[in-house]
Amino acid sequence: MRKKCKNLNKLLILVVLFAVILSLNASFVEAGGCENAFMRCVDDPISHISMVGGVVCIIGYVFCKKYIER
Amino acid sequence: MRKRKICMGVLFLAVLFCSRLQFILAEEVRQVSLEEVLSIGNLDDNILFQWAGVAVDSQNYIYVTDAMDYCLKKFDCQGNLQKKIGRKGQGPGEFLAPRLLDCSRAYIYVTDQYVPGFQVFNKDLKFQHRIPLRMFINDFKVISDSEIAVTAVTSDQTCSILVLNTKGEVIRKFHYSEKKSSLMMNWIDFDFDSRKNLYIAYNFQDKIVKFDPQGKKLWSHSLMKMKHVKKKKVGSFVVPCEIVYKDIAVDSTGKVYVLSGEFSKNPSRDVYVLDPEGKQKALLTLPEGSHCIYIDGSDFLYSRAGDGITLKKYRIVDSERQAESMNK
Repeated sequence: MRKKCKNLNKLLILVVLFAVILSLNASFVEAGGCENAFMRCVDDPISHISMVGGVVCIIGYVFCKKYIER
Repeated sequence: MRKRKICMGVLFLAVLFCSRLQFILAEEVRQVSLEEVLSIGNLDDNILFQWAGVAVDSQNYIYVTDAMDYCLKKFDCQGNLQKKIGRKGQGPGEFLAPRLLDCSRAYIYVTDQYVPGFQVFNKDLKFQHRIPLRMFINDFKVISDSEIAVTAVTSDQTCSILVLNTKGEVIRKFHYSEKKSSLMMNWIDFDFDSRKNLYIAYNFQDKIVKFDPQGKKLWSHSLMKMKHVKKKKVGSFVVPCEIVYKDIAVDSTGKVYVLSGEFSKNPSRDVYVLDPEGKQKALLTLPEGSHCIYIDGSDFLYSRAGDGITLKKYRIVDSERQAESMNK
């Protein structure tokens, strides 16, 4: 009986840990939208060619942060 | 035994004091409600697709930039579309990504994310001229028909507000911070009150600052009680990835409205209402998250809904203030 209880506790801890990891991962993905868009913008060859490319990416990043992320 | 009684008494008094203090604090920060008076655009009517900026003139016409429709739109105070101008392009009256706008007595000034400078339109949305600038604009406010205050992206990361004439020439410069900071950390939104006092909300720092018209700092406050935002390396850049404040606006009585970012209880919805001395007087919560707030000359508040297909106009209802005025 005591062994069963211990196993149940272990299982419960594992489930909680799994849930925490899942939720952490979800928030990371959600928070990365504007960062990913910024990275794509910076890596864009057109941004490299034009002198103002980096600035446009920065402005776009802040707009994204304000507009899309909550 | 006696000592224990004294201790218990002191403890009781301390608890009583704390609970009373909490009650007093709760009384000071009132919850202000919003009463919707107008809603423009919905899923069915194709009036707005993704609005970005809003401004209202002295005759209560509402001007909106629509990023996904590449145009500038004018609505009457009932929300009826009066006119729209623009299409995708870089010519006069064309946009790639229309963003911020503001109006003077005679003109509407519009920025584009991909094109530096302003496009100027008259109130009938006829293109007038372009104000060419070499820098891209973060935020701006029209001071008069002949002066525009802007914050711009500069290569040296200086923290300044530039006052431009209608030709785009810098006629005054104001440094709001002497400290040079890392990328984007000095980015701000700003507004002026009727006495030309300047209010600044930092986007990536927990800082609201007020300056008098001579540039003297009057106060600086932190509403979120936080120290630093997280940063992330993206390519060769290190960028802040948590936004603290999204916008700031001042009403006709000098009350300051600060739209929260990620750190408040209701991110992008909580609006902190400060008095002109910077004390928090009230909190209002928008029904939906918004990227900006705008307060017109009659103190109506405008914000986003429906992910940008709807513009909402609200009356700010301070029930306690109403009761006070009724009693008087």
